[in-house]
Amino acid sequence: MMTGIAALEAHLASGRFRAGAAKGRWKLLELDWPFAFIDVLARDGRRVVLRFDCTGYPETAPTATMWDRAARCQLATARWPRGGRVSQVFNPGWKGGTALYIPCDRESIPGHSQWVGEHPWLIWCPARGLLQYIEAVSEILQSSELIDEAA
Amino acid sequence: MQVQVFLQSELLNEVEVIEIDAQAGHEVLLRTCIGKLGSTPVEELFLFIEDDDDELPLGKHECIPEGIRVHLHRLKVIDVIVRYAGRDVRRAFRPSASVGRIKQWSTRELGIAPSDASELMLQVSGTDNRPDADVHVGTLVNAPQHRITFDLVPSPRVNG
Repeated sequence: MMTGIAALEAHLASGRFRAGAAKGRWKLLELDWPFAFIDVLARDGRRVVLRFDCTGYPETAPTATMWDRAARCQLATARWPRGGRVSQVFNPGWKGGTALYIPCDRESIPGHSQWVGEHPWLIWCPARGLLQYIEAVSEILQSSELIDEAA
Repeated sequence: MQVQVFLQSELLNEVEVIEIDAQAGHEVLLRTCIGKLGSTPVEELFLFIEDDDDELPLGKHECIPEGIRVHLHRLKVIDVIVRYAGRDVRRAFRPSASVGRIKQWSTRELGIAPSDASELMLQVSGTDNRPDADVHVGTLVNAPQHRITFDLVPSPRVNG
């Protein structure tokens, strides 16, 4: 099994990732190992940029934060997606915003053993790779509970 | 001009990306898709366009569109059942029907408002598999099996 950047590049070159990118659902912006910068389309049309830290990939799950590419730093809290279950995952109060509050994030799963039973399809699976995390974020960002950025 | 075609199949574990001449036509595309399979089954294989109910859909295109999504399957139709709150709805779909389209149809049939529907997901009954909206139902059903049942379940709320 490939590891490290080779495994990540293989997953980002997969047909499934490319098919989603061709549809505009997500896009690889930059790969600067161990970081991958990927934007994901939200229901209100905005593109949410995530910085994935893929250290230990794929055996170890990645961790992701909201990213401001122009400023090259974590996105200001006021610009994070919010509303209902969106705010549960995009929670700047969780670990100072350095990780999303989602079971497939390596920084969030410790201490949440109940998630294995509650959200089994969101538990990190090395074979599914980064797309598992991206698809989960994509689904959340399509929630009708997302507050429109213009609001 | 070369175009990209995204192929899903009951006989593939991944989405395959095919580069093909836009003027190639249905038969060449079908043969190219079959060539992507590890081994060719003895049964006849049918090619469908994503979320298109026509049996020979490429006939209505002058050329193969860029980025088209197709499905290769031994069945022409799959019987889909969706269960929710003690009710169920049922209809036949092409194997190329996306999970997203099936969800859209089923929530409409069940009278669920679009805002509520966006907080629901399809889960393959008896499993914890919640396929992405772009997954074709045909990838979840291997012939001669011809039926699949989904449950409409709440999207995750990650608490505690």
